[in-house]
Amino acid sequence: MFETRSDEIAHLASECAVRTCWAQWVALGSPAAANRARASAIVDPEALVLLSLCVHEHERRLVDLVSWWARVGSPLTSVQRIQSVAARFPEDAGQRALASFAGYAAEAGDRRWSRHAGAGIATTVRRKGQDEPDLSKSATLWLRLRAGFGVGTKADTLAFLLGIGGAWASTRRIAFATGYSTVAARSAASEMALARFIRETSERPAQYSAPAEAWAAVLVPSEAASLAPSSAASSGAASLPAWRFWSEIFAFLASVIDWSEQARSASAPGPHVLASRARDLMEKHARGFDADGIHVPRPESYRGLGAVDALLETTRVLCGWIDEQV
Amino acid sequence: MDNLDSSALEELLAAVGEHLEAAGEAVSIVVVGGGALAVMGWIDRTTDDVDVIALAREQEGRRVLIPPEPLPEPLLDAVERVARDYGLRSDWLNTAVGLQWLTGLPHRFTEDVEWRRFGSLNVGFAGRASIIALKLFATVDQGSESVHFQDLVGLEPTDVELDDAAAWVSRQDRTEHFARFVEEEVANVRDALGRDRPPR
Repeated sequence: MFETRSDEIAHLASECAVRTCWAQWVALGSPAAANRARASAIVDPEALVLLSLCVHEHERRLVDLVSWWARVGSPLTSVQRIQSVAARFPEDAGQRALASFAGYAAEAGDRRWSRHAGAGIATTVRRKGQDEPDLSKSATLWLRLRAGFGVGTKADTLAFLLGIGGAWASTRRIAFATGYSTVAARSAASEMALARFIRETSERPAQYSAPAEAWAAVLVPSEAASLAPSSAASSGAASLPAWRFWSEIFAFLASVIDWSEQARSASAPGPHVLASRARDLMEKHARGFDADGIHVPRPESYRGLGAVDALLETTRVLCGWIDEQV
Repeated sequence: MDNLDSSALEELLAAVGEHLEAAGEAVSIVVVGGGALAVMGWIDRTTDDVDVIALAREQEGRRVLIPPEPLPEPLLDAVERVARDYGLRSDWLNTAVGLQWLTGLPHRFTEDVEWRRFGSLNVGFAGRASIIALKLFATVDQGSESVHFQDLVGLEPTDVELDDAAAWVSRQDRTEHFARFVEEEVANVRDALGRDRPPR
């Protein structure tokens, strides 16, 4: 019974992770993924790189896509942020993925990554395919802002605020979404408010909002404009892609896969320990589920070994949500 | 707090033992009270906690009992984790009964322990004679309305077992009135069991 459930959890999580990675790579113009479904929500480049490498044993071709990205997209990938996102992943898997990507990027000539390169997943950087990412799709909004304003807290903060459609957000929420410290998020947001790029409430702690309609007039990609020029011009916020807390969600998927590998290993701990670790995962990522409004089971409703049932149900709900929202 | 029956208690102890094993640790404890009664199958009842009266250490090839405070950190961590996992209060396994060391454990307590292994948690369950002695002491302290009196009657001690227990309990407090309380409670137990009181 326990093995059946852990196998089912592993299958659900790995299939979902691979499917989601493909959809996001398609949105980035990956040369190897043209015929697949494409993501429409904002792509998180660091989370995508890390998850793709964490599930490489389930889909080897994702390593090729990451190595392609290391060649064409490493300047748009944040060295600082990938470290904080990796810290949300299972420790060994996250650090190994980070070291692998850093190795590919360094090999491709981006020396910013050399310091983080280490023993990782063996591959060579792909020399085939387009030489630059395709940033024409709406899901690439975050990368477009980085390409336009530089890789850093301000571009990332703006991506988040635009992705939530003009809603107000505290610096704490911005920091949680982007993976920067609260101090860095506050500094970036207040300077952008000073520049009138975004709005700031007068009460403290301050909240911030990006005027989505005004930004949409500048940012709505040509693809959307050519498909529906009148609606793109008038619907404003509706034309901008939606923010999803992918770094939390991808970290959870990677953790579930890591958990199921523990459960199937020859040196697996007993069922009580595995169930307890399943509960740890659900508790650790509960804030991410809440942030995205995903209604997963409450682990405290499941006693003892029942945490494995809760994890199965959580994974099932989450994968359904991802398929709808990606 | 849930009422824990014998199978629930065994599951909790197994969970603690697994966590200890995963942490590469091993601990031995000795349990008395309702938990011991339930797991040993002497009385079919539930309890809300596990009373640890002693820790055990290997010394020159034999187990030596020592007071339970402080419980080893790995055990406390495992107990806390199991409390979270099962929605129990954090002191579901506690050492309150360890105060008994101040006045001494029942005669032949160490020899009268039955050991069972739950992963890396060795649990010694106090033997029948020790439990009867401790239950009589608790009955003298808390009266015939207490759960301890019910447990004592449920154990159906023989007259010899009651006399041995009374002799030990009487030594816990040398005051004259305490000895009288012990006699009264022993008589109450005999009444409850439908036995004649022995001539004074």
